[in-house]
Amino acid sequence: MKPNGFARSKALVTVLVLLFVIGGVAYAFYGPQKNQGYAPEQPIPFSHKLHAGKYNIPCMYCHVSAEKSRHATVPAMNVCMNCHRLVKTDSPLIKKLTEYYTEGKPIPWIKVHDLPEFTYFNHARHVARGVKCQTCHGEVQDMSRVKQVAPLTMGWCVNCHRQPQYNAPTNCDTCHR
Amino acid sequence: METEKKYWATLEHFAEDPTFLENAGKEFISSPLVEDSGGSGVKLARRDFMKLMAASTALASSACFQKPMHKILPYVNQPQEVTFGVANYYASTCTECSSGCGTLVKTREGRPIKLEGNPDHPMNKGGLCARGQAGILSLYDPDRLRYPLKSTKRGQAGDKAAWENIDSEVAGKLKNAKHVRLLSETINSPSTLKLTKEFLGGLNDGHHVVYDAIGASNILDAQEMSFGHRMLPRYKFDKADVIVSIDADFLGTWISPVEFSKQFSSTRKLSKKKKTLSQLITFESAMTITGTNADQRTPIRPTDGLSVALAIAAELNAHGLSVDAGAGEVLKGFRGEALASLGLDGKAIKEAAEALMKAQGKSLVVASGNVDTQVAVNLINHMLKNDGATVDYSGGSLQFQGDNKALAKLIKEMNDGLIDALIIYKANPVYSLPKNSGFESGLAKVATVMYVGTDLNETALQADYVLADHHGLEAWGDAEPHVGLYSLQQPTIRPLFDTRSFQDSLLALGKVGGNAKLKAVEDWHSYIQKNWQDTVFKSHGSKTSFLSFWESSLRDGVCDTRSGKTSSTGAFKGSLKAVKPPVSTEMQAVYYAQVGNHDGSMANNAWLQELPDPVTRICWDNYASVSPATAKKLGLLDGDMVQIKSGDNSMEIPAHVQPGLHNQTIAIALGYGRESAGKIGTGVGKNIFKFTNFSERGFEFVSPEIKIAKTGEKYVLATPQQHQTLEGRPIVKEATLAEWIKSPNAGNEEKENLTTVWPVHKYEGYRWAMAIDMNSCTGCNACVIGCQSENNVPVVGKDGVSRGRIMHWIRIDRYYTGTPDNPQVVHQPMLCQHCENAPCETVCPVIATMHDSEGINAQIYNRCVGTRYCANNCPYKVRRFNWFEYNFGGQNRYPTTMAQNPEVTVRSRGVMEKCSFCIQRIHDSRNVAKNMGRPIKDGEVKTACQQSCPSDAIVFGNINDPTSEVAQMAKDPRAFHVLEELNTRPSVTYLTKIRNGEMA
Repeated sequence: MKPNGFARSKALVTVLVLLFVIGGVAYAFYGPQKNQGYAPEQPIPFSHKLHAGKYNIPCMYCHVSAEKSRHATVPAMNVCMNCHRLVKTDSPLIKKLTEYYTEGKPIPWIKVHDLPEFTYFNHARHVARGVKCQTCHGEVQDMSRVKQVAPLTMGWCVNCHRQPQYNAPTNCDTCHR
Repeated sequence: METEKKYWATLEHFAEDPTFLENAGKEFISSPLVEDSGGSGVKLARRDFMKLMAASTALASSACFQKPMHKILPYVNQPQEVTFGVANYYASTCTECSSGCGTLVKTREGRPIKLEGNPDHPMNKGGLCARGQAGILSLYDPDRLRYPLKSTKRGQAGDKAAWENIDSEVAGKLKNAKHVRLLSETINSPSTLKLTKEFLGGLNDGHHVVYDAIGASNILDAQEMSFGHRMLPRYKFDKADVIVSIDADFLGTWISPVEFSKQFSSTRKLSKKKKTLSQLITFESAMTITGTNADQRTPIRPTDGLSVALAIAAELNAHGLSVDAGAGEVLKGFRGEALASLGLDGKAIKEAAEALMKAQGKSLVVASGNVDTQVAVNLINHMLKNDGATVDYSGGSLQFQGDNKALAKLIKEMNDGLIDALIIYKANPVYSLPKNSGFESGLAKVATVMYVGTDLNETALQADYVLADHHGLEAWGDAEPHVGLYSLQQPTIRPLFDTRSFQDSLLALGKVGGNAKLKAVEDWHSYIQKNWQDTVFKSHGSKTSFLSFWESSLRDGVCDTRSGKTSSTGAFKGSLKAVKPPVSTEMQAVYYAQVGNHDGSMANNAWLQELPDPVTRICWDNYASVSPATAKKLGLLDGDMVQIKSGDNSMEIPAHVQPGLHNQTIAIALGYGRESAGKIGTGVGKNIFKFTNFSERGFEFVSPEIKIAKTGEKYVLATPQQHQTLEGRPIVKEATLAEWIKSPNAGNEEKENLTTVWPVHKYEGYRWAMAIDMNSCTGCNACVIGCQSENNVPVVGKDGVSRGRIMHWIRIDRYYTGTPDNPQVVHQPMLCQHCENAPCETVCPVIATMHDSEGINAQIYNRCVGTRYCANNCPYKVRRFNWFEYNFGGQNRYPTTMAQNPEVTVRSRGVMEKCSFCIQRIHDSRNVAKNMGRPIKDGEVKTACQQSCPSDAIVFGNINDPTSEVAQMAKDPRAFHVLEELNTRPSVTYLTKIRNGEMA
């Protein structure tokens, strides 16, 4: 008897379901962590090692809104130009920066610590409680190119929030709304 | 006693129609996957669908290991006042109608995302109507005019033109024109009025004609006839113990509804100290929220307004209030048995007059309707000595200045070929003037027509030049809604398109045309400043410098220089026309305004189109409402098409059976049937403006004789109410004032005292809760739009609504009690009740909905898999499912997506959503409080619905704090929970509705 359409599609569905399961398992084990260690090349190779490490510029000098807002924010380019109007103006990279600035174009930085859009993490609350930037972002002052150190998964967040000494909320709607 | 009282939502419900009862129990009225086979022929059963889904999911998931790359684009130069992620609020003025309410514009990163009422504005005191709040969506309307147009053929959209070319061409034509007119809606901005005057002064025979599609020209004319001043008085509903309204929907659409709702609701609050209520008596032809909030409501025919007013005056006269001899003679014909022959309810009129007699100087009579009615109403208020008490003539209101006589003159001049150039600003006369006005034929004879506005509407299509205007949120401006009450309007976003404000256009044209007065003016902003320095600054008497005065006015948004004293006007010198009211058995029609669509100027606003009418609960259409008895006589059911005919006009329109109408009345909403509104608004409903009657005596939104006949065709009217009934359970509790004074828990005697097997939640910190005073809620629907704007609630369209998929997180349910002839109405805001024993929480297989430690029933979108069990198990039917990708319309939705609130997740297909008690607002207040090292204060967190409420019906706060307002209200003897017997233990408390009169 000729295999009918249903039997054939049954086989197809079985294969697809298998694929789905394998894919799911692989995703669960390797997916989220894939971003750990993510260190994309940036349009200008800005070095935190130099600025925050060698020259000891405080994090909040540039990431101004980390203590005011839920976003830490990449600094506006006028902040870069505060110094680089005078400092190292002949370096080709600073020339590139100045070019961006004078043309009024923002530098298209690539987001390293990229939380999903349904997650509402609040920098200001964590800074106010004295959580160090390095706790989540790693030793940024030693990085010449920023990479994601922590997994930034929900389990990782909640692990901290569950510690009784922090008295942190574990309500879903603290972060998801 | 209470359980015997029957509440019903629709007539099918009242008649206990079997199909209705069957559908009532269903959460989802149509099975989405099997239906719809008619058109495409595709039948997809559930199992096949699952197979396909599994396959596609597998394919999709095998390819998503790496997260997509996102970029961060920093500011090049960060503006000083912007902190990324923190909202800024700017005080401004609402420009959606000429009532001129004060607003606060919430902006994020230079982008307005929400409009709220300015709490410091003495008029609207923080409230803002549905239309005002929906203005944010109009700002981001993709169909807005993006650049100026020049047309070579009238009736066709023009081509893009450059501003310089337009300016030089138009200025030249204006200069050569012998007679120039500016036709506009009421302009409540003193600086704009000054500018138009100076601009027109530089042209040959330049005059300004004001016309409002739905305005107060008749009231102004009647004031002139009665007292000699063409002045709109300020009404003080808060000072009135007895209010009689004859067809004036002052809570919904009449003159300044937010201001009046604030005033009226203050007289409807009850407490241990205040045990009195004002009494609202209405005589209505259409059924509006003013009627549904009335203590006594009498349905009348559309032409009866004048007779009712005269009959009340006659009754007052009989009680000893004197009138002059002429009036006395007229009033004789409206007494006793004459009333029955006029078809009026003598008892209702007598009772109204008696109530008014007892409240002389503390009562208020208002009406819409023609000039004669208004004169009669002026006489009544004068007889009752309400002038100077509840009708204030100190300065008066500038909210509506339309003059229909001037418009009639203009139309005549146009038809006579006298006008060479016509500038039309904002008004849309081609759409809103009736056929018999002769406007269109006159317009054809005007050599140069210039339109200034934000969209390419019917009038703009007939113009030679279309000057694209800024939206009010992009432009400077000011307003003077009451004489001496000034407010400023400031731009909160850089113009999205190549548009220019009306005032800047006048300045540019004036400069090119060589206007001597405007030559030296730098720009519109400096013009306003100069005008304020010369006028407002002086009358304010501020001792500071002008600059600091300006800055403080800009910060506050408002500058009040009114004296605060009320004053009366001179003697009544109007004459009552000896009118012969029609006694006909023919059907009559009344054309009324709705709270959402109003005059149709915001027809392209999807939020407003999907806002159900508070009474009929129908959206996306207008319809001919008839009474149940008339419907029976004509054999009409809801959705039957009828043909209506009045004079030369005829139209087919769906019928709606509306309880509470007079049997001779057909009521049809204005503001629909736009032919050129944009993608959303074009072709929605029928344009009934064409049926209205225009004469020198003004508009009459009435057809005294209309024929109606069934065509036999069917039409679907979309309503969210039918499938949202609560099945006759005691959801609404009410009592009369007398009962309440006797026992404070009147109507609320039955209390459930149930135990629970679930562990009781314990709250150590805050526990958020809400209380809603049903006595204050007028059903105006402002909260619905407030919530929609705050929480990124999508619009689903007419088809979606009729399938029961409307997404509103808060809705105002409307229940009738009594008989269909003249039912009483209850409006009940219904939102997620945040139950302690939430039925939804226990059935979710993935725990996507759960109770948080502060009493909020949280819905976690990223965890939701869309089983819809929760919605099925919710007895309040407040959970909303995203059947489609409602919020991601693709690129063509630019710039609409900019209206979205970045603090709330934009939900995608397949997830459930519902009210979150504005969790993002709680977090905002918590952040502020934590930064200051203190707990959140009572009243600090305001939900969006509470904030927008013009009648302060909603209170939100921490019920764990016994001193908080919400805790106090929850302890009130009037407090009850909806469906208490289910033991869901809601966090939302309702207070019983107390009526000042009999209960149906």
